[in-house]
Amino acid sequence: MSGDKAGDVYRLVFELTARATDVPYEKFLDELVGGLAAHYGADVCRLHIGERHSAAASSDKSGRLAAVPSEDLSRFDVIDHMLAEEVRRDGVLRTALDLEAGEEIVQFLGRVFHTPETFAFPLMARGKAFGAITLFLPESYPFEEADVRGLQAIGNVLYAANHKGEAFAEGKGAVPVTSDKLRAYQETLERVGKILEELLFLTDASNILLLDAQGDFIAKRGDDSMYSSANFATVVASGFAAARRLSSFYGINGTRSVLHEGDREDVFVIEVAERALLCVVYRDHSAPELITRWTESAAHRLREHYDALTEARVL
Amino acid sequence: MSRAQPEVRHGKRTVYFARDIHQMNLVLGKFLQKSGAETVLLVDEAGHLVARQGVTSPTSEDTITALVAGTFAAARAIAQMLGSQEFSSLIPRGSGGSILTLRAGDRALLAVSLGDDCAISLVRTYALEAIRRLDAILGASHAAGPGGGETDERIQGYRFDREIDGALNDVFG
Repeated sequence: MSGDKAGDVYRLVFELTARATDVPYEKFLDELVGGLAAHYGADVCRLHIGERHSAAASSDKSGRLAAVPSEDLSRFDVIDHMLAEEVRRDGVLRTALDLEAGEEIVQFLGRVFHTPETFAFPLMARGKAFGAITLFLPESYPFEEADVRGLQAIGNVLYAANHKGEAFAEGKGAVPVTSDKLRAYQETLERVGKILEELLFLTDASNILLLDAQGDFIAKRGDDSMYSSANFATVVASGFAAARRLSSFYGINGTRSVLHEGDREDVFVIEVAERALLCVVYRDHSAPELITRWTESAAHRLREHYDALTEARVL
Repeated sequence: MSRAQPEVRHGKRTVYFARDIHQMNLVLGKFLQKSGAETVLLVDEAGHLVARQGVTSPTSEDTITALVAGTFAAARAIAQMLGSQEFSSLIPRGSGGSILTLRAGDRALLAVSLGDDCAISLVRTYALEAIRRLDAILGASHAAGPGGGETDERIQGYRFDREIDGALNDVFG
């Protein structure tokens, strides 16, 4: 697999999912299938979630589906549904040739829709397939491991969107304040909390922690953990300081991130505005490169709130 | 290392035999040759250098090994909190490659500096193989005992008699 091609795929997934929390869910799905269709040169791209017969989102920019008789369109829908169901059942990538009477189906798709190449990718989350992405292409595409990993990462995001989307509801639990200054602090803290929740949502991490570079715990999002957040923050900060100094002896100043990999969970730590650390604890992610990208993006957004946080003496 | 006490321990220091150090250097040299990494250090948990291959600045070697031990201790503590047994750390060096640290047995750490053109997964694979061989060397040493005609040649690694206090002072001022 070439590094550039893998980088292209992860960049695509990053860009497609970066707005996942900013736009309505249906719009996000539409943008997703549109982006995938454009990247892979597919005439039709559909997204299936759960056991629903119809696709949750569909892209048909070339207008192929609209141009055929309803009888052919119905048959196309059946083929698409069969593919999605097969993939969702066992989580294995398939082509139309894998279906019963596959040769005939491929001929039909080629003759009527000019899309003889069909691929269905599983949407995976927490070890299970819960949906599929189907791509109908006019010609073959050299899919690689990075494509499968990238699409699997989309699965994580979609799964999280279905289960955690409510976390972004406005104004939950905000304490009413009268002072303008306090209100500004509160708004900043809410924005920081939202960034952490969004990162949790994108990465499907078990925990997201924000800590002071000195090792003081600031905020945490995610599951209840067995370890003490304060102790964890201290250890992470000391390890980061040692790692940064170590890298300077190898000729590099300003190391901004460290990845600790364990046999159960991995921990990615990145610096925020030279005073804080953002720490993502995650398990078995299909595309760790995306964790890095998403976390860097969140760190960049947190940096924008640095001054306000410092003034509020949060940092 | 992970096998039962193959090396002699003097107080807080671990003492290795000359023949073992020689063999470890051969393993690390082979690792460097195959993986394409720039430098590899085998450091014990207290920050003493055990073996080294590749180029490092002699003036900062003690500091580097102390920092490797610090990174190791933090990574181990994080892993324990998360319930992991095995762990490693990767420090990206921006545009200039990375530093990979891996646990080597129970009380040592392998620190590998690799350039941008090195595939981390490949380096990791070779490093794990090197660690397995290092374990075997110390296991064989334990079975043979300190004799083997070289009892009097035992040495304390590379400058094992140095305390790392000075190095820590360098780091923290």
